[in-house]
Amino acid sequence: LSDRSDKDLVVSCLAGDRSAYELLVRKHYKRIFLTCLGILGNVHDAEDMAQDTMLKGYIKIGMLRDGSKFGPWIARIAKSLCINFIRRKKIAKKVVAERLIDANQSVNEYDNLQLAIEQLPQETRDPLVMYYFDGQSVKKVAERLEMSTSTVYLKLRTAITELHNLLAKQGDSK
Amino acid sequence: MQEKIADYVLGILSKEESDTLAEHISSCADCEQYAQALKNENRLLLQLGEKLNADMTIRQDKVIDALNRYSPTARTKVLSIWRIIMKSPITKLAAAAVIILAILAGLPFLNNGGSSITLAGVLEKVEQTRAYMYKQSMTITGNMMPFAQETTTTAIVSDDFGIKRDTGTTDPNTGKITTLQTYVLPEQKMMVTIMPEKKQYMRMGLDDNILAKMKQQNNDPRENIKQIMKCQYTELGRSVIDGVEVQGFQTTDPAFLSEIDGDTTSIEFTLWVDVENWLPFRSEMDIKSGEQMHMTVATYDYHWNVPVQASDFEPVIPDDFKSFPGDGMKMPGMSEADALEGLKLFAEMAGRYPKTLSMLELAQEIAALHKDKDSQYMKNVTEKFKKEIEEMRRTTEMSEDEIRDTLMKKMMERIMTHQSIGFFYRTLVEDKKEPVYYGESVGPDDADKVLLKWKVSDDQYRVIFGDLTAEDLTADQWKEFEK
Repeated sequence: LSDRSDKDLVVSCLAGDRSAYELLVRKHYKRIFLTCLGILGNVHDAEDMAQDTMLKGYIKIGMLRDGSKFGPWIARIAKSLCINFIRRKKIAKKVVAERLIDANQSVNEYDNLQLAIEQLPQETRDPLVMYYFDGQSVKKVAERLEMSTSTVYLKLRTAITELHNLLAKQGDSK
Repeated sequence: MQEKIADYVLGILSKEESDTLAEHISSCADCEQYAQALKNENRLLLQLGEKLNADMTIRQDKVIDALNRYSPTARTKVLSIWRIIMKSPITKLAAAAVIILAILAGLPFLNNGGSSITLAGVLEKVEQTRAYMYKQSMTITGNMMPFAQETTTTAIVSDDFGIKRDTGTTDPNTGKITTLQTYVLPEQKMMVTIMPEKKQYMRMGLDDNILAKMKQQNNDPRENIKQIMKCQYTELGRSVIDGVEVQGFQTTDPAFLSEIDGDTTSIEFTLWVDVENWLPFRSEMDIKSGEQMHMTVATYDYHWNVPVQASDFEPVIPDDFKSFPGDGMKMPGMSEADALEGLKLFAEMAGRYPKTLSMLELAQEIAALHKDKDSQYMKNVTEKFKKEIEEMRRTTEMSEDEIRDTLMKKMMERIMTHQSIGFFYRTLVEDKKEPVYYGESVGPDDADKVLLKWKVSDDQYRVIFGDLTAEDLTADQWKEFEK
């Protein structure tokens, strides 16, 4: 990844250097994708929203006053796009439920796991995504979510017990 | 017990707790099965994490692909700088500055004046006043201005201390009003602009030339009266406005705006004078310049000889206000050297000279160039600024924010420099030096052709050639040259 700071890259972008924006994508995409995944719970939707976020960031970069804030700024865009997406697809939960019931089409255990993750409430899913997929320590997750480490542990515990229950239900329905 | 097992799998338990629980699990079939299932799911989660991370580069590639499809490089290059220029508040200020400059330079846009009453009599009365206040409403629409706008101003003008203007601009879309406080301070040779909503301010240096001009004419009703006296005007007779008996004078003579020579520009200026005191009571002006600009200005609510003190003209800038990137900039000069510099910079970017030097039309041309992101001018400006960014980054310790601010300032200075050409031309017109400009047919490569010529005295001309070299010619030499 580039050694150049975000500030530096943003200024280059503003000067018309598109490759600088590509470097920003490389630097920030993972975090954005996982943020979207935390909110939406679905890998495909998260991919779509992460892509939309990066494109929107590109179009709107002229509005970013302080390039060093690119990270939080693009994350805000991601969150707002995801929330709009959820509003547009209020039926999402229903769809997931239907997909779970139709569990025969599940190809492998990851699919089942992903469907179960999608079922978790967002407040449980966020720490789970950060801990397991972003490989962050409990302390780091606690910092980012502005909660105590013991709350994070509690949420992780809830997450895996809930996942177990959901997967067990899936097993029953097969 | 299930929670305890989950903590065990997550590795949260102390060694002691963990050992005790392991012991129990090994002897309890249900707990062992549950622990095994959670461990399995924990492993699956970690594996899924690895899988998702392994695909991350592919996802990034897709995004970059989409970016490339979305916008080809060339377009982006121009667009982004253009975006800074057009979308940044500083450009709006720069555009506003064009108007302010036009006003300061003595275009009688905002002035007012007032006579069987004879106009000479009104002028005499006005010249006896030391300080006065007025209100003014202005509407500008048309293609030239990206920000069709309505402003209301309260101004106080003092011969001793300067000018203070409080202007409210109404956003046509939202109806929201933004205010701008402007102080012109001759003592300090400075113009201070404060934007309270934005918590920003900007100071601009005024050189002696401009100050002299401003003292002589700026915002002064006497200039309007002098101007209308020079024009063909009609006496409108007596009328009553707001219960006050007034006498009107009107002109539609294009000479009223001395340097606007285009036949597309029309002017109607009406002055109403209070018959009681022979002082201006109200004025209305309507200027139309093709589709480019339509401006109406009404000046009213005059208070003559108001008491003023120095403190009325001291700008109050709260501590938490920040300076605008353009802070500290100089007003464009109006000397020959300034004009030559402006012409040089203009030609460097546009590959040609401005079509006309009359201030209003020049401002229109500059505004149009900045609006068109595909113009050669904007492409060159973009390229130049890009190089300057790289240069600053390489050779200075400036932060990126500072670089960005410097860039903004440079952009604004560039716009200002172009205005110098118009200022200079206007002084030539006013000083009756009969300038003639051939920018439409003479370009930067035409070293042997005359770009601008004016009369220095009855027997002498000053001539600027296409390559921007200057020479003094006697009348005979000029005649020879004309052949």
